[in-house]
Amino acid sequence: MIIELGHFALILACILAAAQAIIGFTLWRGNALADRFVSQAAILQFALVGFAFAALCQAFMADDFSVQLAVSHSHSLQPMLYKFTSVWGNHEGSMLLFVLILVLFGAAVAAFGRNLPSDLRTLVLSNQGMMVAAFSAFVLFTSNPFWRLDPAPFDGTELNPVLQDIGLAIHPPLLYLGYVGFSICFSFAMAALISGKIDAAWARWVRPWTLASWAFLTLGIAMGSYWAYYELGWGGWWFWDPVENASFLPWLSGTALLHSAIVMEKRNALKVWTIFLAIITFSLSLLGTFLVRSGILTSVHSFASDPTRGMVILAMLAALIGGAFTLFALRASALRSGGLFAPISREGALILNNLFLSAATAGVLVGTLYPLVLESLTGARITVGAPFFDITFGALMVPLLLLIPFGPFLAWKRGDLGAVTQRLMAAIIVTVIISLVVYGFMGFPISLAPIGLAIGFWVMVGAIADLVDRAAFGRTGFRQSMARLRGLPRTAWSTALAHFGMGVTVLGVVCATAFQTEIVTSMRQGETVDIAGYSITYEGEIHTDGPNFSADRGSYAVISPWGGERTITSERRVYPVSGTPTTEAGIGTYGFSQMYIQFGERVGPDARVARLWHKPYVLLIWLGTIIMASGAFLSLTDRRMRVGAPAKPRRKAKLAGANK
Amino acid sequence: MLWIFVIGLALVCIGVLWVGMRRGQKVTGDAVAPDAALAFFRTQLEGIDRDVESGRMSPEEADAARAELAREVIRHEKETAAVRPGRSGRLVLMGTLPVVAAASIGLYALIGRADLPAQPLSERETFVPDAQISIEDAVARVEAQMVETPNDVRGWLVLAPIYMEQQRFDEAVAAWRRVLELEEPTPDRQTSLAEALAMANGGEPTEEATALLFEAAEADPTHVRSRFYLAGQMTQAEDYEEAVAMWQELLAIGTGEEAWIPTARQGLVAAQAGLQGTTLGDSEPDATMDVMIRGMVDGMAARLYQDGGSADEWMQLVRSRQQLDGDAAALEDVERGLAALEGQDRLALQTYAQDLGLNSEQ
Repeated sequence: MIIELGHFALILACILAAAQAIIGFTLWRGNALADRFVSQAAILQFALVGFAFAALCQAFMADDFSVQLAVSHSHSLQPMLYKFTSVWGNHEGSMLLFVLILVLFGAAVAAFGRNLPSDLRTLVLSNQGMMVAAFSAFVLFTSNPFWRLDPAPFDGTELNPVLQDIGLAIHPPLLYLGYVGFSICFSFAMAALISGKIDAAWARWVRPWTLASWAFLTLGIAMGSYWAYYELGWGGWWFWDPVENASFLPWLSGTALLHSAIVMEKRNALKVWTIFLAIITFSLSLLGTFLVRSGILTSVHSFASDPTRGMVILAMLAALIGGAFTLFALRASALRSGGLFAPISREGALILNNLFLSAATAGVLVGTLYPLVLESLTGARITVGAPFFDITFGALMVPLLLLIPFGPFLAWKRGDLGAVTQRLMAAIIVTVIISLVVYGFMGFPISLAPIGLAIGFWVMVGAIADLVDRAAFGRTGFRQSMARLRGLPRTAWSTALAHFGMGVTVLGVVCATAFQTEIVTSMRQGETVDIAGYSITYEGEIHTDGPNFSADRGSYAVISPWGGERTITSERRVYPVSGTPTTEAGIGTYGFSQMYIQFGERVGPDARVARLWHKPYVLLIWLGTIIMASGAFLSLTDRRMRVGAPAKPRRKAKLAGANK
Repeated sequence: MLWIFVIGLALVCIGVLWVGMRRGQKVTGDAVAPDAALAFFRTQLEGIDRDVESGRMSPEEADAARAELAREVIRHEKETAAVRPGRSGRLVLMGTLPVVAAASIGLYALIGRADLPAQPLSERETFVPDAQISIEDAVARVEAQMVETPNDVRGWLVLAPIYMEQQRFDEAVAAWRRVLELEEPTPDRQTSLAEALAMANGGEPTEEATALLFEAAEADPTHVRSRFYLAGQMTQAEDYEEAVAMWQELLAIGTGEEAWIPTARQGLVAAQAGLQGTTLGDSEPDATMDVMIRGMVDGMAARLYQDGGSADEWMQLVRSRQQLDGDAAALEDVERGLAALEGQDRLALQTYAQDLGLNSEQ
């Protein structure tokens, strides 16, 4: 009964959302009742869809095989965690998750946006309602997770074993929080276009949503990358796979949006551009979510491609994105534009950042879509591979990374590049010293890698220099500087933290790409192979059984260059229900570096193929993204982000003290 | 019961919205939120001060920025003064609520399955694949089901081979008859009925059985099993001329590589020997019977290996193979079957094999 009640709750939420959109769009102008209605409807929808989702989870966890989705994606022998994650490890369930997060953000606007102007809130929520109605109708009529089977089979056909991993519990929800979060920015943009009212305050109100979505998307992509790294057993962390690109595109444009919104907030400029970025970012998010399902792309992610469903998806995307851009074309000229400004200024630097990020977005978009378009026009099949992306994207990122430290140092309106360079001189010297020391350790190799490392150090040192400069270390007493450092607004800390994280990721990427060592060999029991100073001995294999799989597990004794021995195991599993084999890489972490072992096919009676990788500093890639995201979250805790929220008197006094 | 909850949920939702709007009506004056825009401008002012403090902005620039901010504030106040909050459309809003409830309930009635209860595995009275469960129990359960749904072909198709195995030949006859009534007869099913009829008759072919076999052989010029029976019967009935013709026809159907070819050759030799008035040393009727059965099984195996088949067919093959050639040969078939089948069918075969004491490693 719970299942059917969940189904009904979803239907009710869908129709309520439609009513919310219709009422909101017709009565938004200065109507307190409509405002109240859309706010309450938004919160109710969250309760309803939340209940529907919980009902579906309950059905999966109780092995209710009268639910078609559970039959096709779950099995009674799966561990409980994977029964739970099976709920969204498929097209229908993940669409329900998408809708759940959509209503979550809608409810959040209704609950936390009490201090937004009434008209703006009504319009934002109406737009959210429209999307909830459209997507939940899509779920109900083309991808309904509540379809039942009668008579019910006795058991299911198991979740794809590759997905039977903790990663499925983390990656899709985070990614969706990011994708869907940008829907709020999109709704704010739509509201601005409809009402024709947009000012610096608008940018302030959008900022927390942009920050939160961006942070979640950053973590989602990073988690997906790490998951692919350890689960797919290819030893790589980014493949420029079309689906990865599809998630990376909104990140790039979202990063641009984040920065252009700052210009709008501070300088009341770049309004039309910011609106455009808000629309394009959410459009790219939708593209990322749905391109995967339309059957156009094939990759590890295309778990549900169905031509008819694909057509519905494309029609929906065309209507939503096309509608948004039509509105943009009609109304953008009516928006009051902001003032002009000098090229050498904070806003100038941010525009430069936007240019690079937009160009990178365009480059990746072209590389991803060009093969598809070409194939549909001429029938020719080509692949655009990593070299294209590495060169295009790399060429755009290098100057951008070099410029990052300058941005926060430049003053608003008009800056003095000479003075900024002077203030950055210490940072430049520190970067050069660190780089030289590192090159020295490496023996001054002639390659591009040291330049990459220097860029990473530069970004990191630049971020620290920003904080040091803001606290005026060296210009006032140490004690006073420390006080100033503590008194800095959290947004200053978060900017530095995010930029620092970027530098850390750059270091990781350079090291893992340029200095990794790979050996593919066959190893007999007892045989030892040396790789990058580690000595690895194959100790043999055992056969073992898991809850729903059986595995051959190879053990390797690894002695690191600093002594110390550890055993790393890697498995080849077979899941009998679906008859699918998978590999579980064996990973040993040494500081930020990892030894990655993949237990391969059998050769002869007691030998196995082994693929060994030493990946120096590879963890920095993901550590950097976590630092970036925590920068964004830190910024969210800033009092000033909570619009209109009265500061506690004690804190106000503290702030005032810090400002003196 | 479900409907009560469905309607209840709908009523709660519109009730919440209704109450919310009525309350919204009462609190009119004080509901005006502190002006968010003004709060924002204030933080910007603080920001300017901070920039001056840290030396990132000169006092002159700060003054200009403050003036700019002041202009923004004035513009904002003008804009907000122009709009007066109203509360029209209350009737429309209130009228929407019943429509929402009715539309949801209507849509659910269309696409929902209010008639289906939840069926969590723990509460279902079923076989768990690993548990030992006797064939008798399974048969009894299916039989009980068939009383309720006598027109379900699948049920009869499951039961019929089991009846044969359990030597409940009369029931097997009835089951196969039902299958032929419910669906267009196929040569395979006609042959199965003929087989059941003959067994029910103590192994002697009845007229009806022979007629069915001829019908099956005629319907499909490449049907092997019916021809095997017919050739066997003819050999047994010492109708050697016909028998030789039939064995030859059979051999002509095969490409020469099928598993049943040797058996058919043996049959042909036996019939030819009969034609010449001699008998083969050991070729008693029993041997002919064995030849027939073996031929059937091999024929089926060949077909399943090549084209695949249903779980039932694989089970039939595994069972026959176990009786004829023992566990090892049967296990091989189980493995092939498991590789060919998937999902529910795969499980069924696996369970069945376990029941027969065949433990596949896969």
